[in-house]
Formats: sequence, C-alpha cells, structure tokens
Amino acid sequence: MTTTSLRTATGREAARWVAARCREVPWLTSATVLTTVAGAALQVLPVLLLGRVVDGVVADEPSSVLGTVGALLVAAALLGAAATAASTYLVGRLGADLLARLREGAVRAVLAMPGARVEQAGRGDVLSRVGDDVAVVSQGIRSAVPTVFSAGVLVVIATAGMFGLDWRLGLAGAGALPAYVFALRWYLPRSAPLYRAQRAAQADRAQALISGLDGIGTVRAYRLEDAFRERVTRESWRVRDLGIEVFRLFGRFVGRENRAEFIGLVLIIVVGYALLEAGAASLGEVAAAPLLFHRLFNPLGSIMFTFDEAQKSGASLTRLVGVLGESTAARLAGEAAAVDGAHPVRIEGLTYRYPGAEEPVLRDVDLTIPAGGSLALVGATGAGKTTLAALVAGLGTPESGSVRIGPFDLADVDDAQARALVSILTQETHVFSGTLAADLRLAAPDASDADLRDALRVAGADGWVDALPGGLDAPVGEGGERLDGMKAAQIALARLALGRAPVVVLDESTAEAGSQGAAELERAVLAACRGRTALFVAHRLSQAMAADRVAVLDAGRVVEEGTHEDLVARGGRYAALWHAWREGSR
Amino acid sequence: MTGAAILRTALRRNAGAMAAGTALMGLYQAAETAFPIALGLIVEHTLRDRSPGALAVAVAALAAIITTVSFSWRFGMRVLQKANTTEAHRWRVRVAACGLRPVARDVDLKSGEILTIAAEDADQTADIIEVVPLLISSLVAVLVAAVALGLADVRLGLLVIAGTAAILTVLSVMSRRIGASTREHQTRVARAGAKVADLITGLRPLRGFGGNHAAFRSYRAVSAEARHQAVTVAKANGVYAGTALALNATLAAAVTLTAGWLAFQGRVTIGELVMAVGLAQFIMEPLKLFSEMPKYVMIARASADRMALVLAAPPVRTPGSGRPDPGGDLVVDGVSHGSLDGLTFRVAPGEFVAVAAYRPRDAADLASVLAAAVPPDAYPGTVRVGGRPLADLSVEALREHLLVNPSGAEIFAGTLRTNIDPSGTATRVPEAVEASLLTDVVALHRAGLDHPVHDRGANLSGGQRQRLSLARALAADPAVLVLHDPTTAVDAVTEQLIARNLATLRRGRTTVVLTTSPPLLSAADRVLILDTGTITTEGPHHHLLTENPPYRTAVTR
Repeated sequence: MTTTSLRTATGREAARWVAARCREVPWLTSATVLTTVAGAALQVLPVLLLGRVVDGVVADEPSSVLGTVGALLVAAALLGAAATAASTYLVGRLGADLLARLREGAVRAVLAMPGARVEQAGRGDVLSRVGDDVAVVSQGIRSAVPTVFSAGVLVVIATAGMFGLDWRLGLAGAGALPAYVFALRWYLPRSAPLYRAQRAAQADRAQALISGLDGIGTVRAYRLEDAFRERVTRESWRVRDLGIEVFRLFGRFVGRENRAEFIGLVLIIVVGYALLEAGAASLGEVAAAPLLFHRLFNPLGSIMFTFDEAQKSGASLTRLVGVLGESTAARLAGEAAAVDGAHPVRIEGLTYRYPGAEEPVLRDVDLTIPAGGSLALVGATGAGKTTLAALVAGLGTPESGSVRIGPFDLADVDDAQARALVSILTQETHVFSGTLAADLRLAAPDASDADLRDALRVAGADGWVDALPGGLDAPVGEGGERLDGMKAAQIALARLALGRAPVVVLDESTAEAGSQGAAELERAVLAACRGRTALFVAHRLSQAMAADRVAVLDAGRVVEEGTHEDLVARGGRYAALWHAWREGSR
Repeated sequence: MTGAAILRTALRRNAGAMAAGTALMGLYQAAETAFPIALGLIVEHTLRDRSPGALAVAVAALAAIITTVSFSWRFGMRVLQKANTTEAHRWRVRVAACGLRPVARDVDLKSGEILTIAAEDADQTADIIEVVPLLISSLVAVLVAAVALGLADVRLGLLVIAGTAAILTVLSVMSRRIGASTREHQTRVARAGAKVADLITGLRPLRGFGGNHAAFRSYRAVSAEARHQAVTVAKANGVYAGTALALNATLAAAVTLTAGWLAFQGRVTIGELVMAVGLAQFIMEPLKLFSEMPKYVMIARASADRMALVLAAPPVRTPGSGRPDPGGDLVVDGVSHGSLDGLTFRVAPGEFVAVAAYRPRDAADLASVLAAAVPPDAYPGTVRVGGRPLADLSVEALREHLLVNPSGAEIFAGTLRTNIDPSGTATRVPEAVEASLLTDVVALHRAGLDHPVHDRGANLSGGQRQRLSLARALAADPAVLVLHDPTTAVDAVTEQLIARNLATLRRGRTTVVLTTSPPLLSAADRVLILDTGTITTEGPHHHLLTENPPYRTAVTR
C-alpha cells in the first residue's frame, strides 16, 4: 500500500509548542514550578540534619539538639507533603489542559486537512495519532513530567548540599555525572529508532484490526475471519518482539547507570577517607555525604528512566505536533457565512489531469447551469463524470479553465467558502454515531427540531424516523440503530436539505440505496434540490430524465448536450443508451 | 468469563516467570537494602577507625552489592517484561478474534471501543504479571530493613514495622477510592477515542456537506468532558501523593529521632545511626512502590472487566454442523422476518433468478436472512440450502456453498488481486475480472492486478469499487451466489455488458440477483416480483414488461 504518513515535527518544534502553551497560563505554570521545587527541597532537608546529629553525638553535646532537629523534620514532612499535593494537582491540571489542546488541535487539523491527504495517509495512521499518541502523551504528562521535575530539583539541591558540606566532597559526587551522561549517550541513539519502529508497528496493528472490524460483513461472507485474525496476530506479535528488544536494550542501559552509582559512591568514600586522614572535615560531614548521594540513586534513576518515557512521549508529541503542522485550512468547512440566493454555475475551458497521468481526464469542458437549474452528466465509466463533479464542488484544482459560482471563482476561495457555495453528496454515506438529531445538526448546527423534521420529510424519511424509539433522539450509527443503505441515503439527503449551499452536486448518491429505492430517493433528491442549482452524475438514466438538461461526456469531452427529449429525438449516443437501458439487453 | 477469571488465567499461566521474577527482584531489593547497611558499617569501620585494609574491603563490598543489584534487576525485569508483553499479546489477539468470528457476538460496542480494549486494556490487564512480583519483592526490602534495624535495637525494628503497616493501611483505603475516578476517566477517554474513529470513517461525507466545524464542536465537547475528568483525577492523586509523602516522611523522622536519641544514650553506634537514617530514607522507595501497586491492580481489574465484556459475550446463535448437499438448490419457505411476510420461493440448481423487490426493505431483509445474519430460529419459516435447513448447517460449510455478497461490500487495503482473491484460493480470477469489466481498471495501471488499493478502496471510484466487489464474488465461484444490487454505481452501457457476462459465467451454477435494474432482470432466466413481503408474480422479464404494467412502471419508471 502506497501511503505517505502524516507529518512528524522536530523535537524543537514540539518543545516550542509546549512552551508557548505554558506561557499562555503564566500563573498556573509558575505555581506548578514553585510547588514542585518546594516539595523536592523539603525532602532533602532530613539528610542534611543527620550530620548535625552525628557531630553532636561525637562531640558529646547535650541531647537537646534533637529537639530542634525533630521540629525541623516534622515541619519538613508536613510542608513537603502539602507542596507535593499541590504540585501533583497542578501538574495534572496543566497537563490536562495541554493534552486537551493537543488532541483537539490534532482532530481539528485532521478535519481541516484536504480529504485526499487523510486517505493518502491511511485511517490507521490518523487513528493511531489521535488515539495511541494521545494516550502515550497523557501517560507521560501524568508521570514522566512530574518525575523529571521533582527529581531534577532534588539532584540540584542535594549536589549543592554536598558542596556545602565540603567542596571536595561536592566535586567527588559531581565526578559521577560524566558516567551518567555516558550511559544516556550510549542509550538514546540506540533506542530512538527502536521506539519509532515500535510505534509504526502499533499503527499497522490498529489498521489491521479496524479494517477487519469495519468490514466485518464482507469478512464473514468471504470467510476471511482467519486471515484477518492471522494478520492481527502477526502484527501484534511484531509489536511484542519489538517491545522485548526495546527492553533488553533498556536493561543494559540500567547496568551502565549502576556503574555510575558505584563510581560516585566510591569517589565520595575515598575523598572522605582522605579528608578525615588530613583532619580537614568532621565525621558528621563525611558521613552525611555518601548518604546524600545514596538518596540520589532513585531520583537520578528516575530521571534516566523517565528519559525513556520522555522519549516515548516526545516521539508521540512530535507526531501530534506534526499533525498540527500539516497544511490545513484556516477555517473549517461550515465556518464560512452562508451564501444566500440561487447562483448559476459556469464551467469554462476546464482541463484536468491526474498527477502523473499522461492523458487528461477532462478536456476543455464548457458547461453552464442557470441559477436554480439542473444538469445531469451521462457517460461511460472513465468518461470523467466524477472528476468533473468534484471540480465543480471545489475539490481539486483544474489544470486550466475555471469554475465560477455566481460571482465566485472557485480557484480563489478557501475550502470553507467552497463548502458554503457547494455541497457534494457522493456514494459514500455514513451515519454518524450519536442521536439522529446530532447527526443532522452536523449539517445545520442551529436548526430547530421542527427544521429537522421538515428536512426528514423532504428526504422521505419522516415515516420510519417517527417509528424509531426516541424519534429524533434515537441513537443511530455505531452503537445505535443500524440504518440500511436507503435510510443512510435519506439521512444524507436530509442533511443536504438542511444545508444552505446554493449549489448541490450529487454523484451516485442514490446508488448505494439499491435500485428498488432509487425512484423514491430520486423524488426526494428533486425535493431537496428545489430552488438550488444542481449537478447530477447520472448512473441511472431516469436521473438524467428528471434533470433540466443532460450533457453526455466521452473521454473527457462533452459530446452531446440538450434536454432529455431533444437528445432522445436526435437519435445520437444518448438515444442509443436510453433505448438499451430501458429495454434491458436482448 | 469475568474480569477476575481473566486475571486468574493470566497469573496461572505465567506462574513460572513470576516465580523467577519474584526471586530475582527479591534479591535485587535485598541488595538495594544492603546499601544503607553497608554505608553504616563503612562510616563505623572505614571512616571512624581508618585503615587501608578497611577501605579496600569497603570498595569490594560496594562492588559486590552493585553487581548483584545490576544483574538481578536486569534479568528479573527481563523475565517479567517478556511474560507481560506476551500475555498482553495473547489477550489482544483473543479480543480481536472475538470481533472477527464467523458468528456475531451479542455485545454492544463500537469498533473504536474494541480497538481501545484490544490495545490498552490488554496491556493494562497483563501488567498484573509485573505488579505482583514487584509487590512481593518490595516487601523483601521492608523485611531486610526491619531485621537490620531490629539487630541494632528492637525498638527501631518495631517502629519501622508498625509504621509501615499503618501507612499501608491508610494508603490502600485511599487508593481504592482513586480507582473509581480512574475507571470513569478511562471510559471518557475511550468515548473520545470512539468519537474520533467515527468521525474519521465518515470524513468524506462530512466534508461533502461542510459539517467539519460542527463535528469539531461536538468532539470538543467530548474532549472537554475527558479533560474535566482528568482534573478530578489529578485532585484525588494530589491528596494521595501528599498523604503518602506526609506519612512516609513522618516515619523517617521518627526513626531518625529515635536512633539519634539512642546514639546520644550510647545504646547504638554512630554506624548504626547512619544505617538507621539511611534505611529510613531508603525504605520510602519500596514503600512507595508497594503503596502504588494496589492502584495498578485496580487498573488491571478495570481493564480485565472491560475485556470480559467482549470475551464473555455469547454468540447470537449456535450454528449446526451439517453440510449442504451438492447441487445448489435454494428454498425459502414461509419466511416472515422484518418486512418479509410468509415469503416462499424456490431456485433450482443452476438457475439464474432475479428478485425484483418493489420495496428496498424487502430486498435488504431477504439478503440478511440468506446471509444468516439473522439467526434462523429468530423468524418463522425455513430457508433450505442444498436440501437442508440453514439452522442445521455449519457456518463454514454454508458460506463455502452460499455466498451473499453484501451490497456496499468493504474493499480492503492491499492490491486489486488481494481484493479479488482475498484467501488466495480462487481459480477463476481472470474470468471474474473480465466478466465484471474490471479489465479497463487493470489495464490502466502498470502493475495490473498488483495495483495497490487503499483502505476502503479510497483510490477507486464508486463504480470501480462496485466492479471490484463483483469480481471478488464471481472469483469465489460458489455453488449459490446471491448478489444484492451489484451494478447500481456503474453506467448503463457497462451494466448491460456485465449482465450478459454474469449469465454466461454463472451458467450451470445457481445465481440469485436482488435488483430492479432492467439489464440484469432481462439477463435472468426468471424474475420473481417481491412485493409487500411476498412473491406476487413471476415470469421472464420481457413477458412481465409487456403483460404487467405495475412491473413496467417499477423497473423502467
């Protein structure tokens, strides 16, 4: 399958995005930082107090020094707990805000993307971004970010504390840092490609599962259950293998981290030994230093460990920010102001060629549909009907020539404006999950219940909708009432009737409903299009008959044009089609 | 199957790995606990009573401890992680398999939700395999610490044990409460995920009528709800984290003060004081781990419950085990289902019959009855395939014998060839391609039949998708083939050719076409008129066309 995945941002872009969002809420951000710093600092205090106790014991001081130490310890425990509680909440809140911005931004980007882009990337890629990646980032925001924060602060403060005890002890502790850096530099470049491969494998796994579940009717009819199960099993096993490989590498990384711990501890003890030999430090100071460093094992470990998590979240974040950076329209379809009144459609010198194709699919097409009139396109497969319909709907850019709707040239308007001018109904119908009213309001958010009922009546759906349990509030689509192709087509028509675009394009819109319902639907189509300029792609010639005028396309050119009666009387290509179609093959 | 049973199964079949993991991780925790103990001894013997020999012993002891820590952790976690990932894979495949069974399951979940269950809940359930050993091994650390402290002074040992027990009690009560809001949060996030899956499936129609903005607004509402839920969880987590830290730090302070007091009294040495403070600091970590584990058990339980929803759902029917007799006759006898009202007809072996349904609902209901999408015991009347009632046949044998090609059948990502011959066993691919007039599509691309097809056939036109679906049905070459509106998206000329090819290619095999398209009706041996749920008239197309004015109006308009 040839796909071009959605964009992935660089680390810097992603960091800039996060920083910009944090700057938008300065108070929340600074409160989060402050409480985290305070919480971490208060955790280091008890170890520093130990040296005081040791020296007190060695110097035979009165045991009353324990009173001061005890008061400080209890205060540190309570204040530290309060700060940690506040910081956990604030980090969670800031994270939830960021996450909501991120996933809403990603969904908005997908909705504002040119349709071809989503198909090109594949629904699996899109789904794994707005699904898996959001989950990974939210996991990271829940655990990795607060860990790095508090652990980082702890390391900084404890190191400062060691320098405070004796600068040579501080240096000894800091001497372990290069070993930590070495471990990370060994690990990061090795793990990054593995994580990328893991995420890609997860996307493949999701795609395998979703296409099987969505097409379950076909899967069952062709006994493909085993094939799909095998595919899911294979993809899942690949994810498992990669997971194990990633973890083996991680284990070796942890070994290198342990080595750094050993180096730090030994340096501190050897330096402490030398200082005591030289009489340059007290036993209390020297005894506190290794304990302080030992206290850093876990924070340092969790920074190292979180690097791993952070990398995962970072990879997901770059993928999400990448989606945000996909070239999308500034406005979503549905955001442009409605265009009132009927408008004519003028197609002039239209030529179109698919990328990479040698022959154009449309050559120099000139057609006009007067305001409120209708035109049916007739022709064999590959004649260019669908392409012409798409161009009239503003989907795609012609190589030369123009499509004008009233005063607007489609080449000069954005997607939102194009949708305010033209609605297109294709053979692909979908009933959106939720209540029927919510589905219809996707086309007209401000419509009243009465408007919805009117539209359903126009589409010929009022009968069965009234019979639904709950009527307009009945849950439909996935998880609700299953509607057949005919009903789905009627819902699509009701949406069309609710929309206010002055021009409508219908491409095979009655096809999926089956031929039996076609007559009924065709009547509904005419009712839904009343007063609007309409272009039909006619597969059934009865559709052509109902239109004001008919254009016959052949190999990208208009070869005949006129009313149905004229063309039948003319005895040309259309007339031959008409007779053959009507009688059936002999 | 319940969530608890799922967890039990996961635990049982990984008992070996978990035992090995627990032993290694216990060793790891013991070695970690040895650090503060060693530091106490080092302060006492190496730093206070200094000698080069003692320094060498100290360094060697630290090296031994760090080596144990390093290897026991690495291999312990490796064993556990491998078992965990493998277990997650097993459940994932089972959940997926449930959705991909020949007979539908009686469960009301969206495909996006099943995806979430297969992806996230399988992982979280399998986490139980790591959680339990980590729980036990963290207890080892607590025990070693208590013994070391007890040897220095019994009061210190008792303080650590009593303190630990008190802290764990408080925290386990709290974490139970957090479980509820975490579960709620999980559902909200799943709902947001399902909403996205639905929007992306309907993206093309949505764009067509310009509903993107409205769709985004409705997604934003769901997302805001999930965000609100996350903030509630953060609040609960904050209280939990604060309480945990307050309790742990209080215990550590109590140990430091008690040990300090004992040192001032001269009852413990300086080394034991350092060890006690070190242990009191260190013990927070395994304690924290211990206190967090119940939360993961809860999460695993919630995920296992959600998996159980899918796994425990019974099939909507229990198929028989019979095979249809060869030949290919099809009898529908007195079937009343949906809009069908005592429908009765018979198709002889090798016959090509068209059913012209005046009401689309009738055709759709007939198609689902024939596809056994409706359980055969759910309606009065019987359908006999190859002489035997549907209910008696095994699903496998029935589908092999009788193929009902769904109208609007799914096109899968792959190539033209993998779509026409999805199981790689079809023998009539070239004939099928020719008969469904897919030849021009194949000729259009350099790769021919190996031309890539995107998910849902997104890179094909509606007519091409429909012809591809027809080619697949013809290539399967079943004894009985039922087609439902196979040519609605193709143009009139192509439709005529297809109708003729269909009759030729299926000669000798039983074919039923549900259609009101004149070319197909004309190509059939016999047309059955299905009106108000039953067959009212039958005869050849041309005969009906002249003799039956309502038929003429219905099919030619």
